[in-house]
Amino acid sequence: MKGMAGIVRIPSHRPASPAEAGKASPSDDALLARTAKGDHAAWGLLVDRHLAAVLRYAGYVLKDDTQAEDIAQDTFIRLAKKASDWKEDSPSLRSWLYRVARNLCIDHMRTRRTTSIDAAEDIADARDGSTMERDIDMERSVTAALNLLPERQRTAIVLVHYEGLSGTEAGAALDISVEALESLLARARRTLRRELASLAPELLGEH
Amino acid sequence: MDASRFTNILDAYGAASKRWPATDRSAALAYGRSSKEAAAALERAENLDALLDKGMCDVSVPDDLKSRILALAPVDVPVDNETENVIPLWRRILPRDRTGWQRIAATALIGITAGILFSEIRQDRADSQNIDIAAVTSSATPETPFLDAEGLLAFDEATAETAPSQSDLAFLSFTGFEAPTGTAQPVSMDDGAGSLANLDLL
Repeated sequence: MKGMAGIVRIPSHRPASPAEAGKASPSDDALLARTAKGDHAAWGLLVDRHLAAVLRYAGYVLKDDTQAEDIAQDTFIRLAKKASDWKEDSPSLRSWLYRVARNLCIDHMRTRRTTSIDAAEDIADARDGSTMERDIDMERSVTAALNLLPERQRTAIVLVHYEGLSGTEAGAALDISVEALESLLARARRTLRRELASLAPELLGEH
Repeated sequence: MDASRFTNILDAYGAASKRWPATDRSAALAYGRSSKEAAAALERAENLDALLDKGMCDVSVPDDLKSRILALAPVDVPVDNETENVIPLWRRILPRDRTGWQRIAATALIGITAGILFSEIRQDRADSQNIDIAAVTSSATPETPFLDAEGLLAFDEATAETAPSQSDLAFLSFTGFEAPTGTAQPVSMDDGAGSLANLDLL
């Protein structure tokens, strides 16, 4: 994934600038309604608003540029078909997009059985490296630790921690209740803490 | 807010209050400031958040991917809402409501009426143009061909008695024949003397 290898300080969801905040941007539902009537500009706004997030999510899950792009494109093909049928009481568009992208990723992973061996080796390499290498490898290790998680836990962490979805939105994307989502998140964070503790005990307060 | 719920929130969402459920946020923030244990739990969660942030990535969307997706605009992909299948051409053309069918019927009626009127006008014009052909009557010189060896209408000067009329000349000019230098007796197409049966085609 482009940018996956470098440490990124920019948050996934940047706060709107005052100029942007002053403008009332149309809601996703309104844009979908306009899109269904053939408004290409509305479709362009939807693509601008959500494509990067879907692409990033697929990249987190699949770790492959080309496959992530395929998943993003397939997700928007489904959105194009869904636009005329979209109802305002549907779950948020963000949740819907992540749910579709996740299902597509799962289908893809079924045909590409991956093992967690590579991820475990990444963590071990980072542990054994020099200080400078450790800093560089820290990000790889976090990514590798994420890959050790079961798919549902990984998706929960990606959606809430990295993509900034609320519990309700992430629950809708995973088609589970908020309580079930919180349970998934708690297990995921426990596993991540355990896997990363040996790497950065001082950072995690595991002295 | 109690210790159990506060711990659950930190375990699930981490230390950043922006990720906490909106309904719990203010109470959890207040609880986090209420005791040393709560503050310590908050710090532990914050440390894990900081480590996880190192795995955060950003992407740049390739231009060609964006172009491909923009080309998917639904106007190009009409679908049936129930089956999500592409709507066949005939369903896109034919009207789906009563008004649409009424418009088609009105258009067809206007077209038929205009067609009938037009054909009547053409018939009237044809009737008024009672075309006379300058021809040599068969009774005068039956062996004289109307058409020469090249298929052109020929006049026999010897038997021609009258000059062709203006309408004859116009007709000949229209059909590409050269105007005869001699004279011919105009006969009507309906005239038995100039019957087409008398034409001797070479």
